Amino acid sequence: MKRILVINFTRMGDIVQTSPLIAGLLQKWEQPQIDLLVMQGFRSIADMIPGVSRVLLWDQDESVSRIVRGDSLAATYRYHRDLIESLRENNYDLIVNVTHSNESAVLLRALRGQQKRGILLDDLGRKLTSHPWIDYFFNVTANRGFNDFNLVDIYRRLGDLEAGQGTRLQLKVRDEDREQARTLLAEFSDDGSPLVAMQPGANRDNRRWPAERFAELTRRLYEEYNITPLLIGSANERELTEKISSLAKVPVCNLAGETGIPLLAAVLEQCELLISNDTGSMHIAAAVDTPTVALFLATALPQETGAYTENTIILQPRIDCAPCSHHVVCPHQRCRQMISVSAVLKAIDHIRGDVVDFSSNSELHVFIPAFNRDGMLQLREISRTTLHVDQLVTSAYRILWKQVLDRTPASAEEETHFYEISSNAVSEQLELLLTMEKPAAAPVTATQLAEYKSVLRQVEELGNRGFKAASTLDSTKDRDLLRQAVEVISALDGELFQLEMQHQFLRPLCVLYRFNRERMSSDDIRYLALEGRKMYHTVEVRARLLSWLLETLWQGLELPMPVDRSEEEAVHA
Amino acid sequence: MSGLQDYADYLSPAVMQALLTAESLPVEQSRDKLPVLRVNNVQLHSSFSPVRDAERFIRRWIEKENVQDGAPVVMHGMGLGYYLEQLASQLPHSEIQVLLIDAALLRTALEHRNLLDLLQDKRVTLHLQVATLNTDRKVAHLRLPAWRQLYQEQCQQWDNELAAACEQKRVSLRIQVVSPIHGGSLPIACSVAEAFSELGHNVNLVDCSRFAEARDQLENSVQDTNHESYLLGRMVELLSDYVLVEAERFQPQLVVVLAQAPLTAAALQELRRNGIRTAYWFVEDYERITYWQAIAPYYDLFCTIQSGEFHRQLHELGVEEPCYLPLAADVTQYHPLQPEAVGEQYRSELSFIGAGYHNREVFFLGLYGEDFKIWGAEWNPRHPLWKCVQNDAARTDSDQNLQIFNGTTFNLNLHSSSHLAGVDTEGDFVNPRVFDIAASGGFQLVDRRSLLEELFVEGSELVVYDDIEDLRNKIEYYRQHPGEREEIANAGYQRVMRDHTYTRRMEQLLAEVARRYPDLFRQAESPNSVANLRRELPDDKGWQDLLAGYSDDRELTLSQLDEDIRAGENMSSSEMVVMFAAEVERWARSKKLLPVSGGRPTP
Repeated sequence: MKRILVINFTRMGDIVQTSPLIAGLLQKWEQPQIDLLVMQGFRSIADMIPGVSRVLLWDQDESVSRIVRGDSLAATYRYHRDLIESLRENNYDLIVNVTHSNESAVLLRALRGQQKRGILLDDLGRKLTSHPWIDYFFNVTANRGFNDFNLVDIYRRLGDLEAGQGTRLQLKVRDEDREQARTLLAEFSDDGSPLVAMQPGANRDNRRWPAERFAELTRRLYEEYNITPLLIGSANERELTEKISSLAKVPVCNLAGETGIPLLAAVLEQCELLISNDTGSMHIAAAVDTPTVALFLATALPQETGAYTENTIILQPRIDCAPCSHHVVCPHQRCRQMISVSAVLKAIDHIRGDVVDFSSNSELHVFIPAFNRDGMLQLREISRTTLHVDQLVTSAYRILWKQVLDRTPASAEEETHFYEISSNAVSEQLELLLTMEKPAAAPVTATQLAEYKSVLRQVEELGNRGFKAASTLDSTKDRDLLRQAVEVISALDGELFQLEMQHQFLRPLCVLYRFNRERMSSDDIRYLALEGRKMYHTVEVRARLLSWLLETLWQGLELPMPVDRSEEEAVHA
Repeated sequence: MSGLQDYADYLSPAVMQALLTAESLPVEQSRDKLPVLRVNNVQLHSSFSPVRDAERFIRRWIEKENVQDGAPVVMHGMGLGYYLEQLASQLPHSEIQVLLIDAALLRTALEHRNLLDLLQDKRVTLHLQVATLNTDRKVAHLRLPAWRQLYQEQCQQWDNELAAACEQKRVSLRIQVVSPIHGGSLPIACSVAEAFSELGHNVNLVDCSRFAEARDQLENSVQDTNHESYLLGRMVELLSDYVLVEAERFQPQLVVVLAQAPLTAAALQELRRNGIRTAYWFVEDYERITYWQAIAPYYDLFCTIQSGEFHRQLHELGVEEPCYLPLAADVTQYHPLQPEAVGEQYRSELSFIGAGYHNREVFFLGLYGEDFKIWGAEWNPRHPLWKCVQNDAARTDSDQNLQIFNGTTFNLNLHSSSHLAGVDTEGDFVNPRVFDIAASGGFQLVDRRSLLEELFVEGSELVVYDDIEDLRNKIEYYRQHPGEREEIANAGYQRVMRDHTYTRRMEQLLAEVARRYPDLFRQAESPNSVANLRRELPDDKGWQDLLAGYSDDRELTLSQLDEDIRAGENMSSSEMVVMFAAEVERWARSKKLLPVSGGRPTP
């Protein structure tokens, strides 16, 4: 029997997003035992994830309060020792940590498991990634703009799930909760009129669509659609929902703070629709098959954290700074005002089956997700949008990572194979790109593409140089040659870093290289030579494949071919 | 070879006394014909060449421990002196304190070897107990393996006591000092409070002298003595409650009460119920003032300036271990002055400060006609000595005392007695004036007291007389020998500074508290001192390993421990526990739940 532990020290929504991974592991292995370790406060949601044998808990609040109130070191130690020891009682075959936090990295190291995926401490206390998709997971934090994978798909890859395994968000709703929800909702909808829920809260203020807009939406739903919306949220959000309710000046059902998580899920299950910011409720709705209109503001990135379902429509302000960095304090919060009530009503119409045209809206991106042929979710933009070279890069990266993260081609034959197996994905991405408007000034984009290709060629060369130098380390005893090889290798990081700083689009490639580099630590020169060869070869191949993908997509779009700048330079020379 | 008596000047009276009652052990000869000892078949010295062996051992020890010349050394045990000789010669500037295993060994050494030169050396002192060691500075400890093997129990006890003394120095207690309303012990209470502060403790002085006026009013305005004693009793109860209220506020771990302080047995029991330890310093003559019988059993530590018969009586009362704690000098008050700082009126050849007790009136008549000034109250105006009495027998304050001690050539001291005619030949305790004069750098002539000789060396640190005849002779002698006078005064001053300050005394008091109630210090200690952390989780080997590299007095924080772990390699699971908690702490800090600089938030 396979024993598996999934660690998730994040919030409610993220825990719901772990459900496909768990469902997929259940399909992949024969009767596995799957434990889920979460923070105490999220126990109720963890209990609802199907397929979990045991929910294990870390009471973070207790940990923190012990330290904050100044318990003695010995008492603090004893508490955490007992916690870790109780977790160490189990010996797992596989531990997957889908948390970024440092304490989870320490914990992952401390726990007993044959295979560990997540950030992990090494003997020197450095935090290292331990799996290509963990590399990718952490790369996303740094390069959100070029990420096109939904978090759920990244989680799924951490469990080596295949297409068809763990395909949807899931939560168990108990019959008694359903019964209670029915009773509760009967008061508001005894005539059988549709129930529409609204989740106006969010973990941060800047991610909340303004209360005034929610109020106006409430009023219009009541007046134009004959719908009395349900306001949902936690007890903390009660003040906000009351504000909306009073601004709306129409009957509204305020359930904020009155439903625990299980009851909330049961309520959402019986709703026709949820209108929500990017929140845990949005994921819960998706898990109980309730469609959502999702409003993605500020830091929220729909490609990454959009609900893992096709049954949603996502609105995101079309503004250069979106999504903003988590570290930014926004001076204007303009994005919060960019989604109009009418746009939301149109999205509701769309969900209810009307044919709606968003193409005239220049203020918003409107997305509808769909599963690709490889079983992974991708957003389709249904508003009018102009093709930009970065979209090309994002698509190219999407194809590249899907194919090479698990295994980068190690030989010319394997590279050829890559081109073959990628053709499906290429044509699928082309279909999406072709729905976009071609840029009016195509030659500018062509020049950009030419520049990208030239930069990628430089990366290829650097990788090749590193590969040769690493090979020298292994093959010669000649001191001069060895010295030269070491010099080449030491210079490489700097050159690559310089390129990366000059060309944003290289960052995902370079960040993954760096994770690789950080993992390489040994006194054994043979080991270093071997691993170094692999690592530099990987960079070289990835740069070449990315360049090929960019060009192939470009060709498919039937845009003018870029002029190869190096050839141009050669001509000039 | 010297006789044992030759050593009398160089050994403390306690050591000398033990030496005289001990029996010596049989010695053997080494190959090079030197006396050596074998105890229970263990050689205490090399049977081949004890000198050469000791020379080599001490040289290696100095190298290994990296002991610098001048650094004080405590030598645990002494055999026939070979190691001690080497230590003294290889560290020619170090103070060497020797803890004696037993007097029999010392007697054997002194009978078979000439150690006179060694013991004349002022750097070398012999001690029977840890309590008399001076360990203020960082001390190197010389422990000889063979001796440890032989005298395991003794050596272990020394180590424990040293550790307790060390612990006591490191730990900061909250100590409440309770003063009397008035009387001679009032300034002592202040000195005691200052001494505790000086030692780094938190002190709350409950100064009952603030209520002196109220008490005087009661005393003076109520005629009926029954009523008066009833009301004064009520006042003691009231002030006892005040002490309790102060304790409630200050939360002391220890309450130190000075003689005459108003504190009822009921209040003491209340303190005890609250887990507060109490100590009393009875700085009175037990024969004259007898209220101790009513209170002594209620204290955890009862300190006296007398021993012998008094301690026997205390025993009978149920006080198991009374503690002898002689008075001391307040060196912030009493110190040498420049001659010009002394007022003309305070100068004289002879002076005496003190109340006009009967024995003093009788005794000092023998000095009638000298340049003699008498200061202090309660002198009889009809007595012939009245012409010597200054200021109409007004009480002197300590500033005046200081000038008088400094302005006098011969400071006379005579312990009081209300019924004897002169020197009390049975007198034991030593009054505060002995210490005050010495601390002021004054030359002192004092009547013989049985407890004096442990405190000062007669003839070198002060001069002792037995009767008026003796006193007159000694005055005459020292008139002729001003140089000796100066030397003695200076030596007396040095002795006070070393052994008889209130700070030193309170250190001794706390050492006694620490010995009896080690938990008091452990509880008071910071919970994160390594010593304390080690005591926690004694069975957690990983935890103990984590702490192994730190010294006991180190104070640890989670982040420090985490940092040190990260600097090392190959994490243990205990180390990971710490790192995990440290990450939580870092998170809490980032969320501003903890101050960024570390430490606890202020409540």
